[in-house]
Amino acid sequence: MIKEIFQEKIEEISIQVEQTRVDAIRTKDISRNALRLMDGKCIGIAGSLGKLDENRLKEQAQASLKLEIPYPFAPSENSHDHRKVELELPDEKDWVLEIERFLQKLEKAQPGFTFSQKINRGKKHVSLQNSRNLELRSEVSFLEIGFAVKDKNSKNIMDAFYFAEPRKWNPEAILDEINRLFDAYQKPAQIEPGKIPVVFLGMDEVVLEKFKLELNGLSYGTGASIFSGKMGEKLFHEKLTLSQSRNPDDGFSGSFFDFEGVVNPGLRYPLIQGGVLQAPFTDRKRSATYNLPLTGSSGGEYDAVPGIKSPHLWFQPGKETMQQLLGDRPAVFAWVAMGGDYTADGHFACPVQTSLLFDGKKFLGRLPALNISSHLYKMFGEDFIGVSSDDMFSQSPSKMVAMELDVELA
Amino acid sequence: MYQFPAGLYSDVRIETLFETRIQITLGKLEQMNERKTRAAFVRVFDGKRWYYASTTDLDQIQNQLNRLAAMAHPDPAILEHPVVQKFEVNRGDFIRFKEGEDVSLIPIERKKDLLTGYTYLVEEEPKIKMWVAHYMDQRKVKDFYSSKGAQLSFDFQRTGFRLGFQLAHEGETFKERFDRGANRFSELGGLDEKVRFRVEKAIDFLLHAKPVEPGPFPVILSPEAAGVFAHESFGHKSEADMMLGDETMKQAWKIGTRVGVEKLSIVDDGNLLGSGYTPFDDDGTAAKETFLVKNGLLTSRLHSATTASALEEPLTGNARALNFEFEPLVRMTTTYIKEGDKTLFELVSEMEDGILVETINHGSGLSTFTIAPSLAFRIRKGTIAEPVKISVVTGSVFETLNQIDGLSNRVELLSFVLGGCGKMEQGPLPVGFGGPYVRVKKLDVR
Repeated sequence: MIKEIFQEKIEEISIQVEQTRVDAIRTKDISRNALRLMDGKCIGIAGSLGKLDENRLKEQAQASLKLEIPYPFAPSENSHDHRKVELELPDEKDWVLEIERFLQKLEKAQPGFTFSQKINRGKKHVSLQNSRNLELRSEVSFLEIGFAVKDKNSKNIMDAFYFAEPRKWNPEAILDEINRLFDAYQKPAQIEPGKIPVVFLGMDEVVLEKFKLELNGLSYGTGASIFSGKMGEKLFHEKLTLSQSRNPDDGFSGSFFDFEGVVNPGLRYPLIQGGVLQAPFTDRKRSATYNLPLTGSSGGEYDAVPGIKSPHLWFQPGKETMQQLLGDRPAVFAWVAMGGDYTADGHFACPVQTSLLFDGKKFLGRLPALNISSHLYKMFGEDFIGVSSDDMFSQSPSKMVAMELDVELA
Repeated sequence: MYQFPAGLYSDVRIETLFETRIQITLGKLEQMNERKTRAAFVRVFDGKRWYYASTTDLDQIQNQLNRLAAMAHPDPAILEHPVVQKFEVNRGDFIRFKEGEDVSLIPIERKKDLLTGYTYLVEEEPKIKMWVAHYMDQRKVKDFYSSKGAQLSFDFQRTGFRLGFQLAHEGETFKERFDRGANRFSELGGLDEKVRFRVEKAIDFLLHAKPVEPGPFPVILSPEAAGVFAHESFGHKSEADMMLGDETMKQAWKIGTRVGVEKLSIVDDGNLLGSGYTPFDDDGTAAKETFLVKNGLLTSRLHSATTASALEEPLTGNARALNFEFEPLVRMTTTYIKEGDKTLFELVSEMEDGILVETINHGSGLSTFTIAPSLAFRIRKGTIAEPVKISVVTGSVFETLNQIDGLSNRVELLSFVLGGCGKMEQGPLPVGFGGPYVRVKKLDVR
């Protein structure tokens, strides 16, 4: 019988911001535990909050084993790996004051807008240990700045977002980034509709959602994905390399190992390389059932049987900056593009609620509301422009992805 | 009982949770577990700022209260503060789902049997290449204590199942689901025909759906789509925390403003059973029926004690937290459009050329609201014609409520077992929604 213990602990200070002022302070200190028992055929799991009571969980996991949930897979073993991601942040006791100072400067710099939501900092500890000599420990510090931004003259509930995960606290640099965006927002701009370059942040769900759906190893393996049976085929532009990543340099802020203890070299696994479909993402079960590469994409709630989970997807940057990729062509930076979708066969349409005219480096003004459309194979194929070597923002991983799309005024 | 610190408002919310999760994928059991946890959220208010803590150690609640109080600045007149004055003081035991209905007392094997009793409907269909069946229940008992004297205990429970399936045939793929949420386990039986009907519709869609010609169309929204439309296009605008300190919003959304056609009324009501059932919110306020729109006029909005105080409007019972880790935000409960006077047949037969949106994948609502349909059909010459593939249906929030030109005469309230509403970092929160069939003169269809 193999015994495995999964633990996660989150310590967080969350500053709630309303109307560019500190409104509330929340602290969180939450521990979750799970004990897994595996007999080579089945798995039994028990979980708890707070302190770990191993004996009690073991009893419950033994009872759970009788439910006969199949799990005939060997766990990760013989590895001791402890990794930390640390940030340069002010002392916790000075944090609220520091944020108050920052918000005062922000209010002064952008008096036409209100900034609300959260600034969270903290640490996530995750560990996975088992009786097969596995001990993986991750400690990741995080800082998340997430603002919903409201133009004071607008009737919308919000007009734009600002999100950053800086690796160090540099309020002047963050303020510069926000000013770049919101100074441009205040200048009306126009663009000729038609088939034109559109730039997204690489982390934008609008860009990634179809890949998350169709690259799922379960869909792929059963033949339900539009990519099914196409491993090894060149489906997209050679400039497109899309990997699953647990690398902090790629904007991922979780543990370096997945829910089954799989650690990839460089903490990445390429799913599409040079436009060629390499693999769907898989956990142990999907890998074994459909004879697919194991990509280490297992996840679940702390007390769940490990299952397949959409990974953090990362576009590998190219060699050119976004300005070089665009040449002299004006582009749309799709800042807020929410609610769009793909049909099952890949047709894509999405409204762009807020966008900026962009030359690859500078934001030149705010564009009217737009509609964008294309097809998965076109936008990442013949109409794909590339992934920038440079970041849009200096403080967070923020590579840009560009493609030509059909753009219309809304 | 807790020693509430002097000169401050404080409250404690203890959540006792029972959950069951069962997942069967392509006939193989993947998940089957029960979870029992207790945890708490503690709040302190000094009249200027809130201080919160969430903890999984119930022995530490008093210490957390004291620690937060040490960060705050006590005010001897705190009870006179308008926000504190707004808090209701409810006391008593309001446990609704007792023996016989309490899902935590039903053996997990019975829940698994219920789920496996439906899977034959997707197993036997060769065009279904992948399917996942989920059973989920959740029972939460909340104990709420405040320094104003509130002391109440109430419960919420939901249960349900979802059959999600992906079809493929000659290069075409399609994904659909049957999802049924309820408050009682006994409500989940005997749904075979409804599941079968959904599977048949999905197969028909797979085989016959044509790409839509993009453009403006009159659109009939099913109760599911209309409910999401009401939630996204108007519900979020009614959440009063979005307009605090914002004069433009206050002017634009002034009570009494005409926001829709005369026949339109939209209600939010936490008393209604279903996913949005919220007998008391996380300020300790009892649920109310709130007309957001009545006969096309803006009548009210959704509030926590903080926003009700700031806008000098009545409490509505809409301060809801996702779970013990979070503070309450202003959220919807069950939001729906009231019925009209036409039959579905009349709505369709009066339409020369249009679209019927039957089921949806998701929706969103900023200045432009969006609905991403799953099952949708073309209407031609007053009859429902071929299925159509649509990426997204969009409209302006500020215009669409004035474009409604027909409502059917029967409201259907829907509850789903998975998914819910997201706001800031808190989601998915269970909400209910629904309405009649709603016909809109023009929406952009792509």
